Amino acid sequence: MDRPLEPRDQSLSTSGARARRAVWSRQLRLWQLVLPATLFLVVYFVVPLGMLFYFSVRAPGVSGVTLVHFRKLLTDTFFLQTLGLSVRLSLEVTAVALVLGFPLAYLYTRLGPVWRLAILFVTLLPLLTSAVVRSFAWIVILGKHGLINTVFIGTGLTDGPVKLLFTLDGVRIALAQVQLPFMLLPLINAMEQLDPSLEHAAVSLGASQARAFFKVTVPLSAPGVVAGAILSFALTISAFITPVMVGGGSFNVMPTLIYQSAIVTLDWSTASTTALILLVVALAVVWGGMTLGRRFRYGPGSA
Amino acid sequence: MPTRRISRREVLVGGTAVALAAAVPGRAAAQAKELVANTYGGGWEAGHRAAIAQPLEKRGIKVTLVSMLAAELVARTKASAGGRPPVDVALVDDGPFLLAVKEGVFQQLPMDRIPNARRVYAKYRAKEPFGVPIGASQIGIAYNARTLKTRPESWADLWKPEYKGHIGLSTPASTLGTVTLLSFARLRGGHEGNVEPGFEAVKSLLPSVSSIQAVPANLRTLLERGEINIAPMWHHDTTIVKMKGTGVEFVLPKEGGIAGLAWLAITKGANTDLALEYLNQGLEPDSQKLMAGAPSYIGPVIEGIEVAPELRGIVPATPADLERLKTLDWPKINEQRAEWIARWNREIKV
Amino acid sequence: MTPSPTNARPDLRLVDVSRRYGPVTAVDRVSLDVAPGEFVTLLGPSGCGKTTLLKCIAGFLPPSEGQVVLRDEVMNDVLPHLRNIGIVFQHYALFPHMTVADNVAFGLRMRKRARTAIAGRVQEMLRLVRLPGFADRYPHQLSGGQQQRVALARVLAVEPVLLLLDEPFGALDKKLRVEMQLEVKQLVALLGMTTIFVTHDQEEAMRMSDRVAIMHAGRIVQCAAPEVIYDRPCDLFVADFIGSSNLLDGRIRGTSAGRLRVEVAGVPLEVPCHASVRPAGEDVVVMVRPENLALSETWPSDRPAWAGVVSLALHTGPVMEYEVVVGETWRLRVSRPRMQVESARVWAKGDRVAVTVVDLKAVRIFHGDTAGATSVRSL
Repeated sequence: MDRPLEPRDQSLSTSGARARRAVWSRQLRLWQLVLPATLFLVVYFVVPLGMLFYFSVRAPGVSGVTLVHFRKLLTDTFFLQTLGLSVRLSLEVTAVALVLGFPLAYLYTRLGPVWRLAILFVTLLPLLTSAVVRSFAWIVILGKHGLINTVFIGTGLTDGPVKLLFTLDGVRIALAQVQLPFMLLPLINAMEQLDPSLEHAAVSLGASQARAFFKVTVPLSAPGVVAGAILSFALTISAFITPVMVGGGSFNVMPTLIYQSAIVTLDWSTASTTALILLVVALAVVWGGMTLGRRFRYGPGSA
Repeated sequence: MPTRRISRREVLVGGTAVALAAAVPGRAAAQAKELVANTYGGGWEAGHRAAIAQPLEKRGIKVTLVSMLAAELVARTKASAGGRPPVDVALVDDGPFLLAVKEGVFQQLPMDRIPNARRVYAKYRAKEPFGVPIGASQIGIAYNARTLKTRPESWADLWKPEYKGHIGLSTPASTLGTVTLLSFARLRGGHEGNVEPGFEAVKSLLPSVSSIQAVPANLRTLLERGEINIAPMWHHDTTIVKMKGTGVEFVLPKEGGIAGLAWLAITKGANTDLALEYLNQGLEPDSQKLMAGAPSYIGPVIEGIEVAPELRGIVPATPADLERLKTLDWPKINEQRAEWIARWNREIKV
Repeated sequence: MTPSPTNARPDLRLVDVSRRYGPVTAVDRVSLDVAPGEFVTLLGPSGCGKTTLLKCIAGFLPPSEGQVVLRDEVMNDVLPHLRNIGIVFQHYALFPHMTVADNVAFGLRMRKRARTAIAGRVQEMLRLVRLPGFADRYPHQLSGGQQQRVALARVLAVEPVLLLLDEPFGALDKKLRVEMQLEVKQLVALLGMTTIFVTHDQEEAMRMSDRVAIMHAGRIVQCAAPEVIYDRPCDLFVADFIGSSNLLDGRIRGTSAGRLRVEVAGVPLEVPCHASVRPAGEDVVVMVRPENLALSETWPSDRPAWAGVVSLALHTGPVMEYEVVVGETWRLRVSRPRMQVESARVWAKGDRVAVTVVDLKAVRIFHGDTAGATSVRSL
């Protein structure tokens, strides 16, 4: 404790130089380790994105950069309606997934390991099949002679078949099922970090179990809600197979417009422009969600 | 320390190599005797495997069949221009075929090296030597004879009240949907240059329509499950459903069926020698006969192929069948197709 | 079990409370009365059942048997939020999404108090815990001690019948812990709050409590004032658990004139007899606190002594701690204040010493087979 200062200083300076070298070489090594991932990202993300930009600002017969594609699409009411539908559908699906996922996540944090596993298994199971197989299953379930209508008519709930297949409602249901795990996992993560004594504290202060849940658990799960909602929204707005298969051709969403331009008519400029507009809109919504989410972060040690 | 440095370098080099290998566009260079061809799945795949891939494999050529629809194939081939194409031999419909030729992604074929091409019906031959037809299909009306008591005889019968709520349609994003739109247009005096009556007809049919599909293969599922009971459909898709004992029948409307040809073409950058063998094998009488039967039911494109009695008149094969088949002006259609799709998107809603 | 104080009406009365989880009995027939304004500590090692008992009192767990009575009212079927019991949790459980003021106001809002009344009460409570300027801060902007005070203010704002403190000082560093202990003690005394304090830290328990209830294996084994617990532990478990002690194997040699003669390590001690008279020849455990042993250079003429060699000498600040080896196997722990005038001498390792008992009245004798004895016999 009362060791003289001088030798300590010396040892500090020599080991300091060594430490600096060590840090530098560690940084070098880290840089090398992320090189493959960086290359991967450049090749599969940066380059394609650059190509999207390129195609979106070029037009035959026009030298240099043009905004003609953006002007064409952004003044087209049908395009804007489809964009609106895509955003609305994604928000609705996210909302459905949240309403289903929140109680499920809460239940999860309060159950034993066997039930937890069961919940995870059942919600994650759909992710193990392809979107095409899943969509065919939905055709079997939602159809005129499908499971739901058989039950509805059999129990006398409805007289005739309810039209679910090839409707927006059917697509909402099918998409919500796929999004449920992406909503559930962040929610579980957020709720598990909550100190169980927070709810006990609220109850001991006179809040009923229900009020404690809404006043404490719900607001404190907000970071999980935001994370789940962003994931779910981003995945829904870019979903292609489910809207096409379960929705039939009864309506268009942005990915189907992109498919038609890119694949059927080989109009890459329109496809790129559509994709970029979708990207910007989706990013705007996600950014909005994250800004909202930041208000619910309470600093370290709070969770 | 030295060992650590070596292992670090290995990580670096190895990781980079993996990333770069993954980044090289297209598939890895094929072996000398290997060939990649696309097919449409379902009956097509089985037909191609039995009639083309297996005979070639007996001669030591390994054939890999990938399932890819025509439009996607053309788009991907275009995207790979300059590198390895996704397939050596492409299977494409009329519309995408012409589009691809225009985009310059197919090789001009040395017809003298495809001896069997001489057998192809004159009516089916390509105007420019960029592909050979491999199978003929016709579009007619599929209906479930158990559910619907009245047999449709004409495209015009679709408007009959007893079919209300039973009809399925395809969007013009598919060849089937485009042809349907044109058939309706022709019914009301329109043609490739004037599709307006077609849209009018579709709109007037909408109250009867149960479902509009972007993917024609879905119509098959819907027919099987009774979600729809009548729809304009390819004869071979209809036959597949019929053979399952569903009561679904194929009707050639009295206006005549509309021909749809499937083409084989060779992509630029492909293994040309092997690809030519694939094309020639596809046109062998034995192969054509195989594809004309179960489970493909694809119309032969060469003369002298007999089809099973129960398939006569459904699978177009004889000169008489050809006589009744109408062909469409695909170059003209392709010019306007994007417009039609866009218009359909806006105006046609169930 | 020590009888409860004879006040007319206890604020909390536990009557044979048990709590079982399947075959495991976490709380075993606990009875306890806590008088108004009394500060009672549940002290015990982890797993002794003290937290389970606390949950039964708070209402988060129903007791399997027995009654929890709060001011003459049986609470067993009363929902926890209607019990009016305040709890300060181990990590305070402040609501991180609410300001300090909102935290303090929470209970009042749940009771639907008038807005202005709430504001006034919040200010009052924050002044009470010396945090008047902190109303608009969030919990994560506060130090551990400040969070603790907010937690107290939040609980005290609703004027609970009973205050439960669940290891509330565990997250604080030692210096702050002692400060907060004093502060809480003063605050609770000022308000006359009936308090139950759960801890595994005996110093904390001794310092703060009117009475300490020692829990072991689901039962309260002794409940008494801190000095009683220390001076007169009821059994070997308590003797070993509270403070440090020399637990020495001895044998009864006989009784004479209210004194019990016990031989320990070859030395006969004459201990005033306060417990039952034991037959000669019985093996017993003799407890001598380290501060009740003294060291000297010269052999004492007036009392029995052990001859030993100092094997360990440790400075701990106010006291010196020694270990003295007596004979082959005996090790005695001795602690002496460093400033003590008459033995200003500090011993070093290797010194030959005579060890004597300072006050024979403070020596305790236990049956050798007292519960828990096997684990504490090693010296």
